[in-house]
Amino acid sequence: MTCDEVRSALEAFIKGELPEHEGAEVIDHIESCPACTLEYEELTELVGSLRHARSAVRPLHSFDVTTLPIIKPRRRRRLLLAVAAALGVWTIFCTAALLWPSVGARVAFLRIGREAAPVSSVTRENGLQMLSLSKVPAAALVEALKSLSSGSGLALDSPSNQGLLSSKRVLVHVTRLGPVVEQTTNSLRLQATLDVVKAPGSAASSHQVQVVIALSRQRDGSWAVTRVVTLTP
Amino acid sequence: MVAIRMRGRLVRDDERRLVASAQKGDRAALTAIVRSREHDLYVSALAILRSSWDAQDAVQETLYELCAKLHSLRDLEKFDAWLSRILVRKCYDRLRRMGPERDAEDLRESSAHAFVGTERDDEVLEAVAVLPDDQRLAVVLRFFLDLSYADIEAATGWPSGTVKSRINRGLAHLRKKLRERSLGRDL
Repeated sequence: MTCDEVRSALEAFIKGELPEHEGAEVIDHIESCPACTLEYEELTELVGSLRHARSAVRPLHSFDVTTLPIIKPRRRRRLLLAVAAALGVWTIFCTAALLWPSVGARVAFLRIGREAAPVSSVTRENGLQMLSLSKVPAAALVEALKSLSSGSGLALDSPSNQGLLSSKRVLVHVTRLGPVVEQTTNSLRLQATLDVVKAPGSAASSHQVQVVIALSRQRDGSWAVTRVVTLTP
Repeated sequence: MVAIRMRGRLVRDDERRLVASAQKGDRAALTAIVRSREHDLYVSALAILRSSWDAQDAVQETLYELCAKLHSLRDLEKFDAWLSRILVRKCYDRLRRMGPERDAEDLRESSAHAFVGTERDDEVLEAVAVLPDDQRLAVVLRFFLDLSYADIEAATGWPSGTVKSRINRGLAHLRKKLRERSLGRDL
């Protein structure tokens, strides 16, 4: 190392931030160069003085923490995953009801993965179709999440215990999640856009559906879909 | 003094736990974090802004933003660099508003803080106060907040070569100033 190189690296050396081999080179040089030894000693003294000087001033009062805003825990990502899962599952039903308007009123159960989830009611409010849903089983969420993460969308096969959708197959791709319409500690409403494809075996058709998903926090901390509202007629 | 200050700081593991708790809304954890950082933040803001009132405001604004955005911090190891970045931004905003024509406050005289240092400390702080803005900021981030080159780069947006050169130039200026003072005293 030359004198210039050593002097350029001295500050990092004093702070102990040089890689080991470079530090060894600096030491070798300093030991054989009186000018750089002086430079090293002066710089070490200055760095020590700076560290000392920062303790010379003490604020007389602690800063006020009572007026600081409440920190909101980061739940959104986990929530979005849960919503994505729930969305994939429940909107299929929602979409099915859109594609076959008469279906909704007759469906009593919806098959999600290996489980059947009850649909408590299907109503219309202000021209919007409302599906009131019971708690989403955790296992179904996991299943749905796996399907979503595979990027292939979700497929709804005919629910064996009802037969209402037996001749149809619907594919739903979630094309957009969010924005969050409303969020509180225990509830969340989120907009989503779905690409609905009616296939195969029937004339190919697809269209987009806008929905709002409402979720509420359960006692065990999990989230359950309580309502799906379709925004497009 | 350095040893005392270092003992006053929280241990790294504890820090991570505290930050994680604060992220979940734990008020006591937040208070502990503020108490462990407020001195360094204030002294740094004071050295950058050279005004105790502006320093107080900059720190309070920094703490406010800490609360508003802590949930978005993912790498807890980077908490100090992240917090410093907020402080630098707040100080920069103020420096810009103050304009180039401004006098440095006498750091010994203030109703906001007490000066408990030696004459040498006073000389050092005074020498820091008259450094050009960029060099002063570089020196404060490096030696008052103990940031790495990479963290200073992230906090200021300066290229890595600029960070190093501003620190070295700042140190050279300080040595010159302090040497002049020392010579003046000896005469």
